[in-house]
Amino acid sequence: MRINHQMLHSTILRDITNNFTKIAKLHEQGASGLKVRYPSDDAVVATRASNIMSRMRDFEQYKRNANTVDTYLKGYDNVTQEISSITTRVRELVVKGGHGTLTENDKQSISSEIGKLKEQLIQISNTNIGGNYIFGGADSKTAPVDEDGNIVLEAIADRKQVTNLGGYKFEYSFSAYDAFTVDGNESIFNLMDDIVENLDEDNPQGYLNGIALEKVEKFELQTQSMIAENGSSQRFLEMSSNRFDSYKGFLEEYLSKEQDADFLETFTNLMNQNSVLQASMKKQRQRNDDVSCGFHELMVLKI
Amino acid sequence: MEINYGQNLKEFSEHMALMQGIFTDYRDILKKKEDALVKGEFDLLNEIIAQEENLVLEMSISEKKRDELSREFCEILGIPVDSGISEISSSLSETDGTDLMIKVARLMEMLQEVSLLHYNIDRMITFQLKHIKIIENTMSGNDKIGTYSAKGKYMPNKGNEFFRGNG
Repeated sequence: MRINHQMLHSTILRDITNNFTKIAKLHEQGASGLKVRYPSDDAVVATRASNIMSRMRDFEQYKRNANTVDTYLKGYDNVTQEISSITTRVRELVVKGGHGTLTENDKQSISSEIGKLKEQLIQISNTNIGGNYIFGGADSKTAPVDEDGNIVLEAIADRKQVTNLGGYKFEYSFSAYDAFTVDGNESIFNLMDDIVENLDEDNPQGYLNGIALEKVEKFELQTQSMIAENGSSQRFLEMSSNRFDSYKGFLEEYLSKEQDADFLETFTNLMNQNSVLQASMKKQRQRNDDVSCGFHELMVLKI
Repeated sequence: MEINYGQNLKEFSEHMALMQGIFTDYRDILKKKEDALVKGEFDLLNEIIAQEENLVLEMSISEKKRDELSREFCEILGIPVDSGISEISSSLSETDGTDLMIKVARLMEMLQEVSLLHYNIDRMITFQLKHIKIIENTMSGNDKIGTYSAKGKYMPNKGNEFFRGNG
């Protein structure tokens, strides 16, 4: 076979193009810090890296979910402590009202204080965080209790809110029925109304010392359970947030080992390729000065 | 009967206090366990579980003892042997009955606390196991990453059945 000038020229040009491609890739690795950027670089590593990155994005989303829930749980924490203090005061007033030696003034002052405490409880029941009523269950956009103390939350909305924490369906909310009814039956607001009504009677002691006190004490216990449940949810959330951080850290480290370019290796390769390219170009210059030099200049400009 | 009543009530009452103590220790162990899970101190769990096992054994023995004492006491009081604690209390004098019910109420509170801790630890472990599986799948390449269609519909990855010989 006769090697003519045209064939020689083409071969040299192909060599130069290949070398330029290699150099361009090494420059890109140096700039991005990634050894595997496209699936064609290393299909297996690229697929795994892509999956890991997807998983990391999932963890970021779970972390955001956890932060939202955290706001709610902190809200419940404050609010349940307030409910607890109010209930303690209501119990004290019921006990006081149960004494047989009260004057009309005493009774009126107890009634008036219970009325105020009821208003405070109504306000608490409609606590709103970021436009959401925290006792609204599945319908967090509507106030769950009206201004008279009637629970207006639809029964269908009496559900716990659920969030996805890493595939785990975490239930965290309390509805108005959970927080403001005694045994999920009578509302605390109705009970307070009954207490006030009975105080107007001639002999309220029987009702106050019996039924009323028993119900208030039950409500107090329920509130304590709610505080405890919320506390354990906070512990769970703390644990899941810690895990998300550590898993994310682990995946980042793994990904870095799999995908990141070794700078020393990359730049050594870059220097080698530069030398090869220089040699190719010298050879080209010897063979075909004008054309190759023009081509060379063009390639350099492109890079 | 009077001597038996007094002795038995004392023994029964003391046993309730003993159970309260065992449950308090158990509650503390569970709190430690919960804490270890939160902080990710998994090596500590092995130690805690050994302690927990001992306490569970102790609880089981003390529950049997409570049952025995309760039956004996019921016989002395002349009430059915399988009567509950509130029936026993109401058969006692007012002071003794109230004292016993206070002990029982404390024990019940402790049991509630223990039950909530159990629930929380259980869901924490479920969560952790789920995550270990996720990480394992991600690392082994068995991860099923869902995608979205052009219309924004979620398209779960059902795995490559063809290469598993199922396609």
